[in-house]
Parts: sequence; C-alpha cells; structure tokens
Amino acid sequence: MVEETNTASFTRRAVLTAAVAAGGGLAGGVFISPLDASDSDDDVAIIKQLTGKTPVESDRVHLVMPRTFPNGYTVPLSFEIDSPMTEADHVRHVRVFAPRNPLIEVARFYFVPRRSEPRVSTRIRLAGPQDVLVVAEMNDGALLMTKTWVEVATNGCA
Amino acid sequence: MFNPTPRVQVPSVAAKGETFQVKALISHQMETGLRRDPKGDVIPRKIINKFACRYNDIVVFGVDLH
Repeated sequence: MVEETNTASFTRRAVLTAAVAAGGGLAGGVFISPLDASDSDDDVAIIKQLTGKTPVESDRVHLVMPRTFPNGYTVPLSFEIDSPMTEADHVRHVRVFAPRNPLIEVARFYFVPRRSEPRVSTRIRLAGPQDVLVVAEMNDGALLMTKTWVEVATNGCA
Repeated sequence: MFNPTPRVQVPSVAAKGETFQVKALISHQMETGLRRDPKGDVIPRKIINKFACRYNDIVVFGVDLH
C-alpha cells in the first residue's frame, strides 16, 4: 500500500503530452490543452488517463473547500466518504487532483476496513483558480468522484 | 544524517470498538524545489512523501504526498 513506488509520471507536462498524442490518434477524441477552461469532460478525461478507469460523480463523497481563498499556499481541504468500512463495502484509497498544478496528483490517502474512517482534513497548495477533484476507489474497483471550484488569489506552486 | 523522529501521542486506554485520536508531530526541514542557492542552481525538492500509521504491523492509514 504505502510501500508501493509510484512509477507513472503525474507531472502536468507528461499528462498533457500523452493526452495530445492520444487525442491526435482518435477521431473526435478528447483534446486536453493548457488553455481549456475547466470542463467536467476534461476533468473526467484526466482522471481516466491517470487511473485507467472512468469515475462516476457520487454524492457519497463530500468535499468541503472554500469557494475563494486569498492564499494559494495553504488552502484548506476536507473530505469525507459515506462508507460503512466493512469488508464488503469500504474505501481503498482516495486521490486528490488539481489539474492546473504542475503535479496534478496532490496526495493519496489509504484506508483499511474496520480500522480507519475515510475522513481527512488538511491544507494543500493550488497554482491558480481551478476545480479540485477527489476520487475515491472502492473495494469493488468503482471510482466515485466529486469536485469543487476553488478561486485562489495567489499561486502557491511558484 | 539528520533523522528526525516524530512525537506520537496515543491514549493509554481505549475501549473496544472506540474511535480514538492519535497525534503525530515532526520537525523536518523541507524544500519546495523552487528556491535557488547563491550559485543560481535550483535547490532540489525535498518534502515529506509518505506517512503511515501502523496498528500491529498493518498500515491502517497511509498518505502519499507528491
């Protein structure tokens, strides 16, 4: 779990280059460029590219972040997933993505059934106003996601 | 090599099935990877990358930070 090494490159440049290469080959495929506005199709496409699976918007995932925040260095983030955390139904891990940051995946949180509650409160850095995506992978492999728009006044990543 | 140890606070007694709070605090110099040293070279990024909380050798809560 935590001991796994992260071999995929999640830098924004790598994802965009791969997306352009993939988009060019598909007729009418999704084309992700840095100038695109935050569109829900783009967000789903980014997650699909990074995880290989399609996420589903779910209201079991509660994400609380301020709509506007002056300081991009310490933006508060809180999420909670509705899950009984039994062997049959639990959250395996939760990933936080910020598509406009230089490193798209901000953090990954791991949980186990019965022993942990899927609830986290922290602060993250954001490079600019963007959608923050939270994607929870459940034990049956389903991806549940939610997102929220955060307007930060300063670039926390430069 | 400087190896900081985290301070951990755990309650001494907990009832079975009860959710209890564990506190951990570490002092650790970190670099964002954006600063430059007096020569002009970028000081490499050095942050806390992993956090793991184990209970009887099972990781019950882990975090990967990038």
